[in-house]
Amino acid sequence: MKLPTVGVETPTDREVSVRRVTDISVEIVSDSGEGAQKCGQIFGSVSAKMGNGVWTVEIIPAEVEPPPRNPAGASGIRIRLGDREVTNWGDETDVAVAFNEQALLGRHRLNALAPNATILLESMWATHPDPSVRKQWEEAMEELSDREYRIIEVPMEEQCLTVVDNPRRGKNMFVLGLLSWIFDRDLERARDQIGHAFRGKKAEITERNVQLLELGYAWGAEHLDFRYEIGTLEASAPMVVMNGNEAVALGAVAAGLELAAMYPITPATSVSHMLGEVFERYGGVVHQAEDEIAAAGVAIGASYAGRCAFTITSGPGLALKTEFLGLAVMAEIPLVVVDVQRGGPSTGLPTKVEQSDLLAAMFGQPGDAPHVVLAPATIEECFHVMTTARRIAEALRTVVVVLSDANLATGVAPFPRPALSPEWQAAPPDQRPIPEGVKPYDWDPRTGVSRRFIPGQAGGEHTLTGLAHDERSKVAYDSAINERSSTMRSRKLLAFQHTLIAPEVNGDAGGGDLLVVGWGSTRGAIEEAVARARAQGMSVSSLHLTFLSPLPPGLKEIFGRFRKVMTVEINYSDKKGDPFVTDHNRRRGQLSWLLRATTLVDVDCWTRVLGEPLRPGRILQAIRENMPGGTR
Amino acid sequence: MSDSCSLLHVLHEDEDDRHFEMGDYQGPTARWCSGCGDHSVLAAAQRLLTDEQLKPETTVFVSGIGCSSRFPHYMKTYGFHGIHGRALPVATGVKLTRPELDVFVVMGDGDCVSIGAAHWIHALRYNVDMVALLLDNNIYGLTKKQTSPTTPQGYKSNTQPRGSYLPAMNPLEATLGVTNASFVAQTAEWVPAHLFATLKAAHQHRGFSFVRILQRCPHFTPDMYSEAVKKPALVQVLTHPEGIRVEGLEQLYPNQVRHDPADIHAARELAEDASVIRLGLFFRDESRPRYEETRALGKHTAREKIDLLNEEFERYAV
Amino acid sequence: MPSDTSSGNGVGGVVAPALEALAARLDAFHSAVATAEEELRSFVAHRRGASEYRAEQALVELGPFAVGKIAPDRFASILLDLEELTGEAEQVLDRAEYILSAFATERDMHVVTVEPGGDLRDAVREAFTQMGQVFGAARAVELARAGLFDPDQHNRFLSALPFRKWNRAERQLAPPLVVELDPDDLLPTGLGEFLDGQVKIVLVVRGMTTPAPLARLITPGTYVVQTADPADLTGLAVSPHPGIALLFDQERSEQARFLHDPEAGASPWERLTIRHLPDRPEVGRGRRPPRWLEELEHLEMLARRPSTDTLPGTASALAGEAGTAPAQTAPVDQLAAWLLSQTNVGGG
Repeated sequence: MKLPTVGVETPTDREVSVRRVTDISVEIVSDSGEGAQKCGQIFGSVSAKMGNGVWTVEIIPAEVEPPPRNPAGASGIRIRLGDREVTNWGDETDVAVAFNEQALLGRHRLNALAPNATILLESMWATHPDPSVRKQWEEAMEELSDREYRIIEVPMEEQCLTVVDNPRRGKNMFVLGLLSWIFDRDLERARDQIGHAFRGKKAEITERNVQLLELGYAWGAEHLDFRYEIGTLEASAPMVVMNGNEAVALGAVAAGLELAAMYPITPATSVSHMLGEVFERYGGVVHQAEDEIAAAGVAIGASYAGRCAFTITSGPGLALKTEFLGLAVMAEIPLVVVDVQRGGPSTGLPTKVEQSDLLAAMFGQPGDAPHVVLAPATIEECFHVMTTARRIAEALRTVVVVLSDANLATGVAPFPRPALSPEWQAAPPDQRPIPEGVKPYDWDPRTGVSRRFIPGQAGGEHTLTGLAHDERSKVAYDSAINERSSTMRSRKLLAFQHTLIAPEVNGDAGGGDLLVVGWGSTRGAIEEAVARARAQGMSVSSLHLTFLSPLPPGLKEIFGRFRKVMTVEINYSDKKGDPFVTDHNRRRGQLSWLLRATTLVDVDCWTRVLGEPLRPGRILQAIRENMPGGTR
Repeated sequence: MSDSCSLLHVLHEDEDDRHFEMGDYQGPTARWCSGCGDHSVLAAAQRLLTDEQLKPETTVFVSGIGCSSRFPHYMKTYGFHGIHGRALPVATGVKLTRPELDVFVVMGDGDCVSIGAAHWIHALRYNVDMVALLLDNNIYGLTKKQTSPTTPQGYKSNTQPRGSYLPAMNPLEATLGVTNASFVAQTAEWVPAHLFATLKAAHQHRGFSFVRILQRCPHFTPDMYSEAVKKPALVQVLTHPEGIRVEGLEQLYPNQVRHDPADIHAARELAEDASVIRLGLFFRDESRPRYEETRALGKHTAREKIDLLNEEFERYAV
Repeated sequence: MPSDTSSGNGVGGVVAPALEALAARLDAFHSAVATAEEELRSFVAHRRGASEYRAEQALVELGPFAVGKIAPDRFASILLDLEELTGEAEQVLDRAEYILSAFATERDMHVVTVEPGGDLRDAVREAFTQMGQVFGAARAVELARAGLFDPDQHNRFLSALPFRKWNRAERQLAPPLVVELDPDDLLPTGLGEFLDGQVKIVLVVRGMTTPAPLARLITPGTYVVQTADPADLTGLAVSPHPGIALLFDQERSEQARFLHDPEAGASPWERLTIRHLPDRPEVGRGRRPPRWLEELEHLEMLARRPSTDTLPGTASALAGEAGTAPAQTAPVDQLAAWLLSQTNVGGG
């Protein structure tokens, strides 16, 4: 490019340093409602279009409108850019833009900022007429001074007032301009994205925002002395960019799911918002039920009637649906359940990530209720998982729980645009008559699978029941029948397990010192940490599990090739060395429980419940600390 | 968008000249206690299906858990014997996605008025076209005589041996208070002609038809309605040309009151007054919106959906 | 206005716009047939030599998420329930596909010409019987897919299927029909049996007819229109009711133009809009046959708002109507009007 289209040249008397990076994180933080997120989204989109790897994560306070200028109320967004695909939110932020020093303080206290971070901070608070504000500023500066931050004061409000009356509604675009200069973004693309973001609004609004963008760009060019240069990758295929919840919603459409039954719950609800907006144009219906239980019931009723339905929830809602999931397993009704996990137990951390529902999703139903549990690891997988989950649910006539989480739900990253296929969609309800002699639970003794009967099929009339029943669906308390039907339901899972492929080891398939095992949304961070560790000479590999129930084959054998196996998860485990903790009584990470029980391998775990996605740097540290001693 | 659909799947009717007799709807012999009111309701339902010539394969009976919830097992139609209190959400899912099916819901008083009360209230509001029968014997029978919400105050049970502490809940009053309720009737298993006529009116109503059926449990509440059975004067029948009409009933039940089912205020007054047992149609309004119509599934082919989805992707393209 | 450009036939110029006006119905029918054909073709492709394609099929159905995680060959052999087709079923499906593909774009069969002196009802019946092949073919497909096709019992489905055998769903998808015929052959009362579901028939006539040949086809649930303007047929195509139209080649004062729309009201006089009514021919001169008079009288009777104080029982039928006092009408007309309002023949 070599702009600037706004006609500002960098003064020649100023030395501008250009740092070449392959990877960098930027945060924009403000009070709620100041548009930091919109600014970050546009910045992320422009970067993605320019060929950078991008991962954005929103920083969301728990309250809708927390008090202004409050460290706990910091609202914003982190954008991580790379010269190749970015799979996670990274470690600390290198560049931060803060609309006030209190929001910045909030991030500082969470150790979100790199010790040498460059910070662009709104300067107006330093000279604010209210002495208490000036005092807060001074105290904040004092607190921030224990790091090597480089804080650059920017008169954001003063500048914005030259264009708009209400700077609260303009700072974000000014900041977009600043960042565009720093990162040498294509201004034409930024203007396009602004137009896109404000489509449907008056043309003046777009114009004014473009003006602010250019103003910020010009201010940066005139006053700043640093820029970044980051390589790009050639996009080989057309890409789309969205968050994990949007991907689940569009994936549901692609999978031919017709009914989404839900009850509002964070962080799953945005899937319903998305579906409410687009699903119904495709002929789908979003049913907002009276409660979580009814949402499961309506989805089960629809599935029983031969339509493809799913229900979406988070931990507390999953607990409420438990009895219905048991019924679906018992009566063999296909059902897809999406659980966007958050911190627990109970109401826990509604907006924050955790991977704590694994065991509840698998074993939550009283009685033996074998069913499928799987976890997408990327935003792209959030899209495609819906087709696979639906197909498996139908093939096995059972429940498939999809475990997403708040990290995937709010993370935004580009992925190859899916080439849609009609074969991904469900067939219309089978209405062919049932031949005489075929029974509603004609279990194939080899696979446990039986043909699904759908109302409307003449000759298939029967009453489905959650009570123990025989092949004809007759209530049967006979012990042999109960044993047999339990066996058949379990056999379906065994038969399905037999179709799974052993997962591939990331690193040395032949073995090594340490194998890190993960599941779900942590894959990007784990693999990045493993790559760094390997670059530092450590003999470490990783394995990522998609299917948790049933587990894929070959795990024990893979584990046997490593001196130590350790899971990395975002759920609670007792820390070795804490009071009373012994190897015997230690409560472990959820996947680690599961792997120990199924493989009899002494699988260790490193888990954290910090209410944020795992940082690769922290995992790297954990790897270093857990490398088995001695040499091989 | 054209409302294209395939010829396949919609055409299973195959020049239907079948004629159904009662026997075509009768499943295995019901295993309720002899003298149980459930038997009368089962017989009335089977008669209704015969009368209306409903196809067994497109008729679905959904129930919860309890004595009366065994009902679908004794029908030769499709049936869904689910979990306690949750029959209505299941039935809603069935009808919402397959509106061509005839859906009946059979619930006991514990099912509907206690554990499933939230669904009951909201099902009335959704007004999905189905027949919901509350088989109310004022007691938990299957689990052996525990107090239910409709157990009369002072009535002794195994959980409240000194008698029920609270005034009994009046399901009609509750129902008539719910926005968008469109059909509310009460009948009694010991007046089979009225029971049948009520089921028929409920089935013909387009919308959610709520029918409370008073019934005796010969085992645990044999005395509950014995007076009313012996003394027809204790029963008042609501009559109206637009109501439930049973020929000759006035001879057996001379205590009659004219009530226009369009009058919700009068309906509420009649429902509230517990001095007499009232049978008949309390309220009906077919003009109320039906959820399965306002929220009908579209009919897009796989190809059309892909085209629309591809358009949607344009918004996310980079 | 009539022109002979589109066909050698005298009414050809009106046939094309008539068919055009029914485009929505034609599209719905074609689209249903095409979708069925597409579905059948993919079904056959999957099943034919099912063992060969099973793994590919599993791979596609499971989607990209499953790649590298689920072995498609194992999934197919263990969990993909693909019954192989018998030779007999394959033959049935081939034949059905041939029929469906022939009808998926076919337009000519939707236009029928009654030869001079021919029978209108027979012509319509024959056209529907022929087009009924698609429904028969669809049924044969369903039976063959279910493994229930019995040649002795079901082979008839692979030939013509008369209208009276069409079920409710089929009648809803009924193909639209344009019939061209001479005025002398216009005896439409026999068409009542076809006015069901979403059947739409347009009769195209050149020349002078009786004033209101379609008057006798008016029932509460039937859309009936007589017009000289093809644009008036739009309502017919989109009406949710069965319907019939008579399209004149030009406006003539002797031909009534009216519209009966079941959606327009509960009473005959609300549903019926008369745009032009010919003058009554003089009676007694013997110049006009009685049919002329009967048709007009019938139409007028339907359009008339009866008074409320005559027959017992009419009161309830007229309940809620404003009590305007129309001219005295013969009791027999009122009875007819009342009976008509009570029937629901052909109603959707």
